[in-house]
Amino acid sequence: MNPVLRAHNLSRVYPTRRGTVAAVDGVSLEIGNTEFVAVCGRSGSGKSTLMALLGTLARPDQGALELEGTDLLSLSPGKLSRLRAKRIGFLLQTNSLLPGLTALDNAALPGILAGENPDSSYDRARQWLTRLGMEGRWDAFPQELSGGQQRRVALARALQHSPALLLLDEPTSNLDPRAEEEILHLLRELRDERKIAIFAVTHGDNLASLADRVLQMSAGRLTEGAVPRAPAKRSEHAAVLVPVFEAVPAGLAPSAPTAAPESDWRGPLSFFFATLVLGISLVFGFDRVVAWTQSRQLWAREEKKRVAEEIAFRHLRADMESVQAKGQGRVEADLFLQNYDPTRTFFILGPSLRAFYQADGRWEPIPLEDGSGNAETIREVLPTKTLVPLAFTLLPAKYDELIRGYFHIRFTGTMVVSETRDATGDLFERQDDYYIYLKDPRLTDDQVRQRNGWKPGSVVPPWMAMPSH
Amino acid sequence: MQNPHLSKISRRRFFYYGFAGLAGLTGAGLTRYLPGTSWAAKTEDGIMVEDAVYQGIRESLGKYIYLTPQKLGGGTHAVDLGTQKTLSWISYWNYGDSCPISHHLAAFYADSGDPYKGFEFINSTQGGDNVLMYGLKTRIKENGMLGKHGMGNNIYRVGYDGKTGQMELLENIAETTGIGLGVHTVPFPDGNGFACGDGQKDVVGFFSRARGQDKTKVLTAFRGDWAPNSKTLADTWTKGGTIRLTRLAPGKDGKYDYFGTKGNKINYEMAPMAELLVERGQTPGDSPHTLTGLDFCLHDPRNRYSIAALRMCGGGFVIDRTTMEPICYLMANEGLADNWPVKKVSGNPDAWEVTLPSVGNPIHETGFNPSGNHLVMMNNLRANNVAVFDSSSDDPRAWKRVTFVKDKEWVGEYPSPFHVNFSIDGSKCFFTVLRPKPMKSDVYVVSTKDWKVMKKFRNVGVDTQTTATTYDGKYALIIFSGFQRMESGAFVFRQDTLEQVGYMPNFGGHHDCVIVPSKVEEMKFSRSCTV
Repeated sequence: MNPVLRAHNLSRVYPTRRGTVAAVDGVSLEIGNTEFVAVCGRSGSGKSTLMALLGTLARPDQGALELEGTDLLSLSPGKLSRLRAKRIGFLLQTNSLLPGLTALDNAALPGILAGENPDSSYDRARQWLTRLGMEGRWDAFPQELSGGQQRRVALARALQHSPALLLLDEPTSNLDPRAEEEILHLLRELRDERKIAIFAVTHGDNLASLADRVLQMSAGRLTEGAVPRAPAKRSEHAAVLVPVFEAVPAGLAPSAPTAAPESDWRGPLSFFFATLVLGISLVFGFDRVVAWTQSRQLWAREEKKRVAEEIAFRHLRADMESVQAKGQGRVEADLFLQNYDPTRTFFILGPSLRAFYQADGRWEPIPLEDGSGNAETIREVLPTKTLVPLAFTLLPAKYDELIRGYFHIRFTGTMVVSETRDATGDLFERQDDYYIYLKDPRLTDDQVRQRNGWKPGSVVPPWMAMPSH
Repeated sequence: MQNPHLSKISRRRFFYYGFAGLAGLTGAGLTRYLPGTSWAAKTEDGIMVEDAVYQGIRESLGKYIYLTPQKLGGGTHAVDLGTQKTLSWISYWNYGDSCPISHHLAAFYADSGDPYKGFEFINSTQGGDNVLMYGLKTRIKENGMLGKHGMGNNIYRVGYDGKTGQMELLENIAETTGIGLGVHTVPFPDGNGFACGDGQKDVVGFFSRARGQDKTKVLTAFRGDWAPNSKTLADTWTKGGTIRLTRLAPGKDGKYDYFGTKGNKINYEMAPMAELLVERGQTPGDSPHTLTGLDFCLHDPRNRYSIAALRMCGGGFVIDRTTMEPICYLMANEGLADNWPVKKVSGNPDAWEVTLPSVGNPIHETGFNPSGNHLVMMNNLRANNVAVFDSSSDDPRAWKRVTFVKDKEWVGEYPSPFHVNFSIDGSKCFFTVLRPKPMKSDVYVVSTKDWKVMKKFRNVGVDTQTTATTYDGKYALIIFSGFQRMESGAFVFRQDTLEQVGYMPNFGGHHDCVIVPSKVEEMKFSRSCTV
């Protein structure tokens, strides 16, 4: 029998307020590859600390420790963790099953955490759970299982990787006699069939009676002890227990999980959070899709407005073409419209025209004759100039003379620009002011020259287009 | 009955839901990359077209001083591009000018090499009557402020002193010399003088550079006159005529007789693209039919020749500054010869003539590239293109028009290519493209390899005007003036990548701009060779 585990002179000291306590004091031990070793002792004798040292859950203050020839104390924490996960199984006093996972998930967990194929991990978990009589309770949560069933799930989890060494810490504590018998039966089978080294710490004779070798632990020291005699009924009991694991509840198929007890908050909490995440995701996703759709619509609308604005402000030219005095103060003028983009067709409604002259710093309205402007008609704006006529009569008694002898006149034109003749969709309104100086027809050119100090014969414009302002 | 899948959530299901949620979030996040929700930049006919983005500038533009005149504001201020705060300003009202219209300006390189320590610049003011053209409800004329001290056409030499942090008026060159001019001021590339023109008078003067309290001297001055073939104003230029360039002579007192409004042929400036108003009879004046529109004179960066440009006559005289005589006449109009001989017709006073069969359309701003081997000249209002001359020859009589920059949008009277400048490396040419009110104007970038438009910045601002480039080759600044009374600012983009940088505020409707050179080598990138 080859040794699986070799421990030499292991010691572990804990500091306390009253001084140091040697929980494990110079323990040396070898465990064969199929050997079942039990350590008995009273509470506080150092059994659990020893098991923690052997399982590398704690580091000894001194000594040496080998598992299958590997010096465990020389390994890095990462390597030690990986080796521990694959070659050592643990069954502790408390089952430490994760309450949010099913029995099957709990049993498969070591394989999944080790990065193995989940399907293989779940296959092995099913095999062990079946082997341990739990085939009907895969989908049950820990809180739905009895103590013995939970312990079996924990054992299935410990055996997930077929470890070389199985460490048991009081595996039958807190169990009723029937559940204890179930666990003892399993361990007996493992000892006989699975060829696995088992190291168990216990203070009970029933478990120790299964061991090949029983050691006594006292004050951190290990001594050889007698193999306890098995209870008289153990064999009989075991014989009848083999087929009598707790029966699968009637009506429960493996795939039909048992409803979680309403009094346990953890299941509903998981459901709540899962639903919350799903709900938030759906709401957020829906919100984004709606936002995107709306932004597309807004963008399309803005783009239409932008195009209309671009037409109005980049391609539509409008300005005064001509102004002619016709006598008696009557004036005929033309506004021109022109499309500066020969590749684009667009239309305008209007222009609606108004006119003002300046007097005392105020803009006084000038009544326009009928037919001035074109407020009611939609027309295409062409690359050639289109003239819009207007006419009015102006002979004011008083007016501002920014240039002497000239009226300061403002025309205001309002146009609605559209890409289509029917003027549907987004329209853009453009309002322009056109300023001119118009010679007072009551004055001669010479009078204007004289009033402005211009030389005789100088040009006296009948009207002047003013720079944009 | 409760659904067992809902009543029991295993860890796997929990993960599934989690992954579903993450997938949903990821998918939702990806929606931002879905097509069709951006209109920032696009390509039209292979040209990158980009709308200007209205954002502030969040980076330093370098240690430069940016000078901008306020036009109707009556002064000029200097902006520190590093901090974008105003460094100093001057207002000519304070010096007794009752109607200063601060029009164009250009700076000499700083003698110390550091403009922050001090520099001088030349600032012309427009004729005072021009204030009446904007429809202001002003009583400025009634109050007598356009009289003796408000005629305008002053040429101010101003110094900035870094010690005091102030600008000071050093000289009114118009008073010193008797030549009052109100348009482009253009320093020589060597910084030893400058030229100034005025298209209302058709006069261009070449001046020495004075420093400090010294007085400026006239090197020479010319007047242009047009003798049209037709007596009809409407046909005055289109039917051809003869240009006479006459050297002006000072009076006995050593001063010329062109102070203030003296010599004006038209009473108001030809605003940008207003050349046709003259032939339409909409511009009052004593003799508009003789107008050549001699608005500016700029210089070849090789520092020998200058171009005295005549807006109404579609071209410009090449002046040899070593002799101060015209060499030839360059014509930008497509369909006409590009280089016309000039004939000297008089020696007392000196006078030269060139006869043109027609003038197809006016020209406007003009510029040499930094090496001087190309000259570009705007054909405005009718053709709306840019004539490109090969000016690499040492003999201007061999300069030839080689191509035209054209664009499908440049049709009709507008939009029109307007002011011009070049990137410091000479690889790109920047044009402001003017659109009439209420339109916002553009900036076009043209490759100087093939003279094709490579990028358009649209909707830059109302009334885009001159451009300035930082001498480190990083930034180009485009000033827009809002027709003096609307929105104004400076649009900035990178010279190399042509990425937008943003907008700077500018106050007062700036019409021109220049970055103060720190050394003579930077003059050719300044307002010396382009307008």
